[in-house]
Amino acid sequence: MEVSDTEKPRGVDPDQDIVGLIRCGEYAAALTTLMRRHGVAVYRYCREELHDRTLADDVHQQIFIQAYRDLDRFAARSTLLTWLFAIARHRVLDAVKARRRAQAHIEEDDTADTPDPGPPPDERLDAARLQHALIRCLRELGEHVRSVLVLRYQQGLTFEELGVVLREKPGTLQARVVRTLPMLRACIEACTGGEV
Amino acid sequence: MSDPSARLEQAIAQLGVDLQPSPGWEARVLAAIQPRHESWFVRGRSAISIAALALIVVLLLTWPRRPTEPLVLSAELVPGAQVMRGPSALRVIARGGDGRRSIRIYRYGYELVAACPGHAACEVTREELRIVLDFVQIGTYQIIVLSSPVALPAATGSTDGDLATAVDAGASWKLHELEVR
Repeated sequence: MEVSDTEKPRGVDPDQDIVGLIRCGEYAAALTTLMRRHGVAVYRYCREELHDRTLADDVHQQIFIQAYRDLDRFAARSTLLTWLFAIARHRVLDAVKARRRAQAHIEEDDTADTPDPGPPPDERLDAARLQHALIRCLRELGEHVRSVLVLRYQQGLTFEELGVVLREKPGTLQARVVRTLPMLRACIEACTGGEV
Repeated sequence: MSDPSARLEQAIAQLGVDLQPSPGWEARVLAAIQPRHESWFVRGRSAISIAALALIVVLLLTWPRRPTEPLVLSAELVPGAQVMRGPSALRVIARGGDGRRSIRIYRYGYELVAACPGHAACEVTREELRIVLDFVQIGTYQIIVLSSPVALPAATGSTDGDLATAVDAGASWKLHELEVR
C-alpha cells in the first residue's frame, strides 16, 4: 500500500496575511481571520476526536482562546495551521483525559456520547455503510493512530506537519498509516460484510 | 472509485464534512478574550513615583479633550407595554466608547433582530443609545454594542461575521448573551 505525502509549496505559509497581522500586533484581527478560515476544520477535528457535540463546542472555543493568548509567541517555525492544530491536539487530549476521569465516577451520559448522525438517507447505501463502519472502526483504533489518520486525510496535513503537531518523526507516522489502513479496511469489511 | 485505499482515504476526508460550529461561537471567543480592566494595584504594577502621578493628574486636568469613557452595555428583560405573562420586552442601553456607537441585537447568532441606530424604537442621545423591543420571541439573543471613532461597518445578520468585520475595522465592543424562555 502506497501512502504519499501531499505536495505543498515549502517556505510559504498560506496564512501569511494572518502572520503579518500578528507581527503588527493586530491580535484581535488575526484571531478573527484565523477563526473564519480554520474554525470549521478545527471543529471537525474536535468532533471526530471527541464524539460529543457539547464537549467539542467547548474545546473548539478553548482552542481559539488559547491561540489568541499565544499569538505573540508564534515564532513561524511551522505554518500557522500546524501551530493551531498542535494547540487543538493538546486541548483535545486534555478533554479526553478529563472525561475519562469523570467517567470513572459517574455513568456515561447517553445523550452526551450519542454518535454523530450518519449520512442522509438519499445517499447511496454503500457510501452510508462505509461511513458508519468507518466511524465505528476509527473509534476502535488507539487514539494516537486515529489522530494521524484524521489529521492526515480529513485535514490534509503533510507528514512533516503531522510530525510537528504530534511530536513524532514524519517517517514513523507514515509507517503507522501504512500499517493502519489495511487494518481499518479489514475492520470495515468485517462490519459491512462487503468490500471497500 | 476502484482503489480501496483511495476510497478509504476519501471516506476519512469526508468525515464530518457537513458539521458546523454552533452559531455565535466566534462572538463567544471574542467575548472571552476581551481585556479585563483591572486596577493597577490589583495587578501589582503600582510602583509609580509621586512625580509620575502628579504628571498624570496635571495631564488629565489640562487635557483639552474629554477622555473616552469605557464602553458600557446594559441589556435586560423588562415588562413590555402590553400585559403579558413574564417579560415581554428587551431593553438595551449603551454608553461610553468612541465617537460612533451601534447596538446590534441578534437571535440565534444569524438573525438580525434590530440595529440601533436604524430601528424605529431606537433613541439616540449624546450620552447613550437606547432601544426597547416589545414582543421578544423565545430564543438565544446576542446583544452587541460597537464603538469606533470612524464609521462602523453595516450589519449583515450574522453575529460572528458582523463582529469580526467590526473588530477588523478597529472597533471596540461588548457582547451580552441572553436567553428568553
